[in-house]
Amino acid sequence: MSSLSKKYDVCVIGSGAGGAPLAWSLAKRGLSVVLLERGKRYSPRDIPKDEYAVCRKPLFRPSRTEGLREIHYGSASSLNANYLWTATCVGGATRVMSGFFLPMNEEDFAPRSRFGSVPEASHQGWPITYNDLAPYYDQVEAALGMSGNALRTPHQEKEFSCPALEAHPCSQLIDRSCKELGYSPFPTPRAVLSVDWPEKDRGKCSYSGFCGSYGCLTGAKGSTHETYIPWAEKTGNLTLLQQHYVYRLESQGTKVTAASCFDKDGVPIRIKARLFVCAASTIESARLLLNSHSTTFAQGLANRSGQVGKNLSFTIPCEVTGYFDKDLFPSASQSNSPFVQRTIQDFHTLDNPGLTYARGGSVIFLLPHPNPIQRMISLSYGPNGKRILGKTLKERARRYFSFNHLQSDSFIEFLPNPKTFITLSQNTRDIWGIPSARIAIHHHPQNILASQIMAQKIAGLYQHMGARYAEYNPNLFTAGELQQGTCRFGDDPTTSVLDPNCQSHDVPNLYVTDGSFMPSGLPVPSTFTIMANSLRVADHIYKKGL
Amino acid sequence: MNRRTLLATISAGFLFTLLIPYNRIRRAFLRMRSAGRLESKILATLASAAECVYPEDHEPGAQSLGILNFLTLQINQDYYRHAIPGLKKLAQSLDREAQKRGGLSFGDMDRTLQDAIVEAVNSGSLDTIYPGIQRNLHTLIDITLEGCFADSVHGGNRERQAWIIMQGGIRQEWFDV
Repeated sequence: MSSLSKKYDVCVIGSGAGGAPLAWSLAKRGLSVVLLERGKRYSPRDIPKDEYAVCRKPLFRPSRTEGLREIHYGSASSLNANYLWTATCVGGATRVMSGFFLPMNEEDFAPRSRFGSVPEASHQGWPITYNDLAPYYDQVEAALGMSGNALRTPHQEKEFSCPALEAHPCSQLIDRSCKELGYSPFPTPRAVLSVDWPEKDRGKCSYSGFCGSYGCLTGAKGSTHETYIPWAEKTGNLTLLQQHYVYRLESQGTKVTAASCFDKDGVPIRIKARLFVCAASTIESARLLLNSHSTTFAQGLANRSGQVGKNLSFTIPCEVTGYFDKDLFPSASQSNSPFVQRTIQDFHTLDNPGLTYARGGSVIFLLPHPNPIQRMISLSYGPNGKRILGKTLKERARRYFSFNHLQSDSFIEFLPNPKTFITLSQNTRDIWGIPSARIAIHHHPQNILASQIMAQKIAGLYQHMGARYAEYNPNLFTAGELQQGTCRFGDDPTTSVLDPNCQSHDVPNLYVTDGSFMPSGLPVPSTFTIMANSLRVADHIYKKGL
Repeated sequence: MNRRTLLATISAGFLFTLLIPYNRIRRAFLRMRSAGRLESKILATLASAAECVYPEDHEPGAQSLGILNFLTLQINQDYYRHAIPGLKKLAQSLDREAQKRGGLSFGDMDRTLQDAIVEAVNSGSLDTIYPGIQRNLHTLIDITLEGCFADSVHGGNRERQAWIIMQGGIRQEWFDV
C-alpha cells in the first residue's frame, strides 16, 4: 500500500453537512485539510432533472455491484439491498436535499426531561443546549443565504438574508384554514436562494420543482458543493480527493495514524494526518469505526463503551396526502411556484391518552414529489403486498390524477431502542472485501401511535380546507434519509462514544460530526443542525489546538 | 524456450501482477460473474408481459409506448444487472405456463390468456410451480413503469404520451432543462 508523502493537519472523511463546513472553517484558519469523499464530483449538468437518471440509476449511491447491506426490518427476514444510503457524491446528501432548514427548539435538547422516559427506548438528553448551537445556526444561515422574511420558528423572530421564495397559491388556503383552527403557519425556512448572489457565484432558484432528490442547476440550493467546499478550496489549504473510499482507520495505541482508502481504480492508499474527523454518514461512520478494530480496540475503534452502532434512529417523514378538487387551487404545472412554503409546529406536543411519550414534530407542507415513475410505482401497490396491474392500475392512476394533491411530511422523532442498531455483517461484504453494515430496524410502538395521531390531526386540517379525503402513509420502512445516533455524544464515557465536543472519549485525535453524534431523534429535518454543529466542533478543534 | 527467455517471461509476469492491483481484478471478476445478457426472444416475452401490466385502452399501453425499445436499450446496462437472472426465469416460466395452457409461447397467446397467466403469477398461486416467479414479476412491474414513465430519451414513453394520464400533475416543461 502506498502512502501520500504529505501529512495533513486534519483528515475529514465525508464532504456532506457534517464534514464540509468543518473542513472550510479549519482550512480558512490556515490548517492543511484533506477531504476524502467516496463519491464523484458531479457538475450540475451531470445530474439532470431526469427522473430516471437521478432516482433509479445509482448516481448518488453505490451500485449494487459495489456491495449490498444486510437489512432487517422488524421481524421480517433479512434483505440484502443497497438501501438507506444518504448520498454518495461530493456534497453528500446536501446535493439532493430539499433544504428545509428548521432549527431545534430549546426543549428538543432535553427530550427525556421534557417528555419523560419510555420503556424499551434509549433516547437521551443532549449534553449541550440551544444556546451552544444558536450562534452556529446564525452562521450557517448567513453563509448559505437562507430565504424567508418572517419568523425562523414561532419561538424566535429572525430576518433572513433573502426574501421568501414564492409560494404556491394553496399556501393561502393553508394559512386561512390553520388560523381558523388556531394553528400558526409560517413560511418554511429554506436553504435555497430567492435572489441571485453573483459575489458567491450562485444564481437564484429556477422553480423547476425538481428540488428534493435532484441536483440544482443554478446553485440556489445551499449544498456544501456550492458553498463550503469551493470556499475551502479557495483558501489553498484544502485537498479534495473524490472517489476515495476509506475502509479503515489505522491506529497505534489510542491514536489514529492514517486513513486507509481505495482510490477510483481500487489502488490502496494511506493518508496520514494529525487529526481525523468522521463524517461519512451515520451508518458508514459507525461501520468504519467497527471495521477499524485493533489490539487496543478489539470491539472497534473508539468503542470501549460498546456503544458504536447502537441507538440508530431516524426522523420519520410520516406522509399525509390530501385530495382536493381541481378548482380549489391550481396544479403544480399551472403555478409559478412548485413550493408550498408552509410549516406548522403546533403538534410538537401531542395530547392523547394512549401516548405515554407525547412528542410530536414539525409539519412541512409540499406538493407531491414530481417524479412520475415513483408516483406510478406507488399507485401499483395494493393491500397485502399484491401489486395492481392492467386496467385497474390505469383507472387508479386516472382517479388519482383527477385531483390536486397536497402533501405534508411530519418529522417525528424515531425513538432509539435496543432493537435498532448497526453491526458488521457476517455474511455480506462489499466489492473490496470489507464487511458491510448489518442494519436492524424496529419501530417503537409509541412512534407508530404518534405518527397516527399526527396523521389524524393533519387529515382534520385537510378536511377543513375542503379536501375530498386524505391518505396516510406512515412511511415507516423507507425513512432512510435523515439518520441519527450510532456514535452518540454525552458526558459519561461508559454510555456514550463522544464527549460534548464530538471528540472520542477513547481516541483523542478522532472526532465524529455527521448525524451519528445525536443522542435522540429530531422533530425537524436534521441537516441544519448537523451543519451548525460541524462549525461548532471546528471552533473547538481550532481553539484547543491539534 | 531457452532459460533466459523463460526467466524473462516469469519476471515480466511477476511485474505485471504487481502493476495491476488486486482489487481491480477482483472487481472485474465480480462484474463478469454477475453479468449475463437477455436475448431478443426473452425481451419480446417480457414486453408482452409488460403490456399486461400497463395495457392499451383509449390511451397507449406499454407496447405502443415503446417498452421493447426501452428494454433493449436499458436492460443489459449495469443498473439492471442484478435483475437479469430473475427476468430470464420469469420469461421462461411464462412460456412454459403458456405451453401448458394453450400449446403456444406466451407472446403468441391471446391477450385474455396472457392476462390470466400474469394475474395468476401476481396472486402468488404459481409460486409453488415456479418458485420466485411472483417476485420476478414485481421486478418487471417496476421496470415497465420506469420504461413507460421515464423521459422518452431513455427509449420508452414514446412522444411522452404516457404522461397524458397525469392530467397536468407533473411539470413537463422542465424535463428539457
